[in-house]
Amino acid sequence: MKLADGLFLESCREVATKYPGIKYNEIIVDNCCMQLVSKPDQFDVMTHVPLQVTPNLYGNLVANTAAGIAGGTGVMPGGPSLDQIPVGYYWWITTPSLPKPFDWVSGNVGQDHAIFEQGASAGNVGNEKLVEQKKANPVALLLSSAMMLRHLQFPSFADRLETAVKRVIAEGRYRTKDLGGNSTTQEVVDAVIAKLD
Amino acid sequence: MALRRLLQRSSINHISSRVLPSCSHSFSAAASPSERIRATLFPGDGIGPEIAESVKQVFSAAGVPIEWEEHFVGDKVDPRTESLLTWESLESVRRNGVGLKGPMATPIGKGHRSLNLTLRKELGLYANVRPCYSLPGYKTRYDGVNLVTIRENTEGEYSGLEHQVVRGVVESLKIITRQASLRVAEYAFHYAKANGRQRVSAIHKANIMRKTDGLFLKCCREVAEKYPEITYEEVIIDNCCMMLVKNPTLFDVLVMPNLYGDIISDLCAGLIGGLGLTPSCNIGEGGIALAEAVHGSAPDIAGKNLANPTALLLSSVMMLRHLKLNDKADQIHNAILSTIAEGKYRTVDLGGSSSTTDFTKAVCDHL
Repeated sequence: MKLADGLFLESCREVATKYPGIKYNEIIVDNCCMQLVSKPDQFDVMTHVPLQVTPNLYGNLVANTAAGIAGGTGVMPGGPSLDQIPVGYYWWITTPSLPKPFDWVSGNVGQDHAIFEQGASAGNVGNEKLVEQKKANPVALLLSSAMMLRHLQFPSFADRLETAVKRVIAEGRYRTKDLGGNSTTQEVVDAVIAKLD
Repeated sequence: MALRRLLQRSSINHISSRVLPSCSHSFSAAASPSERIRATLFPGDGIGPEIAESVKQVFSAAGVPIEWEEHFVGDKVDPRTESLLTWESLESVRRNGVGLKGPMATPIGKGHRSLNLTLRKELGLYANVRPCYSLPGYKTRYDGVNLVTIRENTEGEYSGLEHQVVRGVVESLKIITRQASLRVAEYAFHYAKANGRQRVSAIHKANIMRKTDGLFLKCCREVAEKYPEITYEEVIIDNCCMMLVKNPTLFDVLVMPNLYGDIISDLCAGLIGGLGLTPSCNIGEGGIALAEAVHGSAPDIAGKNLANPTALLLSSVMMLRHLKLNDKADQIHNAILSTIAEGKYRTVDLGGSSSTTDFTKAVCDHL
């Protein structure tokens, strides 16, 4: 789609020239999906967070694909752009402790507002059983709230929260059903609080 | 303007289908085993000629009754086709009804259409079929993959209708027609039935694009009613991506509009090992089938006897099944799978050190 996606790329290139310290490259969406499933590690950077910027539909597809690779919607914070909010962005954070290669956070940023939420809700929205049995996985929303703290310029609080969550996951004792354990939501949250320093 | 041309062209196809009813709704050409069938072969560029040679060798070793009519991409633009593919080449496919195509690199330049676009438009290729199954002996992160993606290949998001409204604002038109959607849905269900598949999943985003994807779904539902023995389901595209990477065994046959098909078919190829191992077949009006290897022409290894002919070989098997030469198809298919499973003869891209000719000979030996 030469004009539409062409305009998107042109805009990205313009902004890229203002950040010479950040590597910029372009990848066709079908190739991207193929690379994601066969070699997700090539998109994995050990210490910092690489950013992926995509138009709306592709972003939706790629985010869900990557969330699937990471372990499903339970660990993936963030979500699709809402009408009032023009830009959605996704961060990738490596968590070597998780069985899958990487984790997801995402936020929705606009001119005056920002909303942070659990990502790719496919399949979990309106799941009454999860609510009744109190087995929902709080990790995604906790990490989204850490993102919100960063946005509010509270990096140390954000770091403390993220570190605590990662420690709980790495330890593996308190995991909800979707991650292969049988802890309740409250147990996971208590564990995170206990690991906060 | 362009939209009117697009709709006019599709109505012309409809008229011709009424004039020649026997050709229009046949999906495959049954062939009697005694006579030799003519098939067009486009070896293509780069590694194309080498892997085409592999196919010819395997076919003759298996005694397949096919007579190849080879055509090459020219270096001059044929004004009748506005492309480097000549009218004669295209007529050959139309006449034979079946063909096999290697990778073609469209040279950069103006004044001619891309080769793939030419083939698609001139031959009316409306469905792209890609079976993706885990090859025994070649392990990827995903096991037990056994699905087929069927992509509508003529309209949708790739209708080529884009324009600038004002500077910095561009519009792209997504066209979904009842005719094209019904056509690809019919093919999907026919394929499922003919190949013993149990389920057809229509992939869409009709919750957002209610009219376009909604129409596509409506057409799929209509066709589904005619095949009560086949389970029909609808899966939203983003959920589909997630399910594919978490558990690809959940899927059987997938049918979808152009853009989703483009992305999903490549994603599925990634699940089983990439484009070098994936067969593909394009179905056109009147039962034309053009099987093709969808990988690139790899100019860096051209002529070095290093290329992996698996994709083109598996595509030629698809061509044989279309011709209902199922015994030969099974024979060759099993030979290829055994060779890869055995692991003794593997080309460089699969981590081995065999040459194209070694691998081909191994396949012939396994027949």
